[in-house]
Amino acid sequence: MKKLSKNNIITIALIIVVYAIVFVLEKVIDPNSMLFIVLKKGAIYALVAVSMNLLNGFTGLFSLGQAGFMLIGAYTYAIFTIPVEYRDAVYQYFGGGIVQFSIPVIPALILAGLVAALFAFLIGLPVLRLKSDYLAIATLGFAEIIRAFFQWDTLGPVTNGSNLLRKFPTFDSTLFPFTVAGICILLIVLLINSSYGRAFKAIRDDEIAAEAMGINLFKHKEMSFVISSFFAGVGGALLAMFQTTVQAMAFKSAMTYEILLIVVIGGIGSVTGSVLASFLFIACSEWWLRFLDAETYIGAFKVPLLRAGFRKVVFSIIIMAVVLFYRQGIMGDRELNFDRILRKRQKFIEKTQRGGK
Amino acid sequence: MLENVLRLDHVTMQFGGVVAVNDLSMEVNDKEIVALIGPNGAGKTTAFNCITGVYEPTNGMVSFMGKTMVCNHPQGKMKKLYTGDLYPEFSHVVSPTPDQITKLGIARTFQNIRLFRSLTVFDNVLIAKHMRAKQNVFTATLRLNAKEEKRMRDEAMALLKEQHLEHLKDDIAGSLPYGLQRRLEIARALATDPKLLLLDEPAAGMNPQETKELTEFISQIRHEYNIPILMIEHHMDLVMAIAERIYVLDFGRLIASGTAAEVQDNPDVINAYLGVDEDE
Repeated sequence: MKKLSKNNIITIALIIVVYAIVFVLEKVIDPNSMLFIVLKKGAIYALVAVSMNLLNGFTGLFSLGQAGFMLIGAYTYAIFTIPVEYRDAVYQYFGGGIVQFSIPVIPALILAGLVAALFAFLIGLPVLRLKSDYLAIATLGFAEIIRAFFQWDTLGPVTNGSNLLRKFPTFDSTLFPFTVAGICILLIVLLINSSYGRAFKAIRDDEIAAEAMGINLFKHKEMSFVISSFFAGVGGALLAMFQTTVQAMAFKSAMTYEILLIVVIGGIGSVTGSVLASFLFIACSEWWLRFLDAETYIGAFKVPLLRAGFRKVVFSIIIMAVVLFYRQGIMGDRELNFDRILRKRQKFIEKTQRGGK
Repeated sequence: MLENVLRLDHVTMQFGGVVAVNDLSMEVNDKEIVALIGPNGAGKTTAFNCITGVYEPTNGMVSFMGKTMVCNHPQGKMKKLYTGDLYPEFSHVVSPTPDQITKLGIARTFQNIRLFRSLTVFDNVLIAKHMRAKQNVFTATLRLNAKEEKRMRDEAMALLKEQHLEHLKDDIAGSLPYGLQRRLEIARALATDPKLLLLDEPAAGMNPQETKELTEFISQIRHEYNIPILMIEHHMDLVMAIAERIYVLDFGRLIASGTAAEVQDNPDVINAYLGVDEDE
């Protein structure tokens, strides 16, 4: 066993501390507090954002199909986990549906990923021969088609048509999405740092050179697309658990754009950036900027501009500012690296000491 | 009799009505440095692209180490447009993609340097080892391929040492000075364990001093790795100094071939480079 570097030790310690803090917070603070909603949704979005970053940031494939794969994951999870006794109630317009069994939560999460991956494999065969913008258009179109398809009445016995799917098992503890998302992100990070991750980055940097280095372009692109969709599917299933209901309507292209935004703000090509940005984004949109939507009076004075919908205006301005002035995002293409931080700190201390003398 | 490593038979590359390479036949023998020269637009890089699978030639055959690697005859729209001769022996179509050709053992560099600019020097070389590694995406992700990964890293490191680039191993490839980027690109090509090295204008944009160093570098590679080299080059100093045989292309056609001295005195070559004097 090779020795872990200082950076790895600190990173692992930090992750344990974060999980411990979440665990303690849950004991101390009211579980219905806004904080936990943000943490749960943030963890789920972090997973989806990292999976999108694998595709957009590390393989250089500009795909906008993420919401479609999340939808597949969410539906797969819901369809296979609704307890048999509730099926009559949920599928009330379709005679109880045709799936008359249910499977446990963890296998259902994996199945959700696998079904999304299967769809990605089939779609990837024609679509991944396209480049840049054309790939984005094709994947976006696919996501929209999937959304319409799942609302189709003829498929009702399976998907419940345009009605809600509900009563499937969900989670209470924030630690559940944290653990699932954590494991998935860990796997993606391991992949990115493996030989295959290097091949993906080579394709991103220069396709022609990568091919001249013996990398089969199509095989590796397909691989990245399928793996990214697998984790988007798992993320979709988690989102279904978080929302406690599933409806195809909710998985609009706006959801893909939200995730793309997280990836861009976090830094294209940075996993830690995506994770940080996703918690920030969810906190802002769900919590911190909510006050902008409420009409506020200070004494008799009505604060101007604050009204329903103003939050989105402010949000758009922030995004424009990021894109114009801070194009690299929070992290650029770097990762959180404690070796570097320690080195900088060392230098800073030396400098101040010299300055003191 | 020397063994042919690479052999082109009647290779023609036609884009619509434009014939970029016209009926080119040439060969590269074992341990030989061969240069392909010609004025701008003569079709040298197109010939390279036909060998490395970037283009599928309209007609003709490329064989490597005695095996047919690329073979094609005009089909579809090109049947009508094709203006060259037809050879009945090229009736079947074989056209591997560039990555398959690299795997067979032909490595190349590019005219305008194509490094993985955001990756480190070490990673650039390491990527070349990916295609021959015994692993799949699951074993690689779960680190079950530790032995294989270590072997790849050791090989890449050894190569960097041989090429005297090891002190730069953690530098970002895109930040290197031009001459070193060229060296790195050649090192990266060597990392694919090639049996033939193709260099597309290795001395482009270099000053005389750098060109001299490159000349030594190339002949050193030939001695150390015992592989033949086929290169496109404009710098006549470099070509005359190290190329054992020279092929001259003009307007896609082979106009001369032979040793440096033979080619230098060939009137067709002089005309191609300097133009024909109308008065004579």
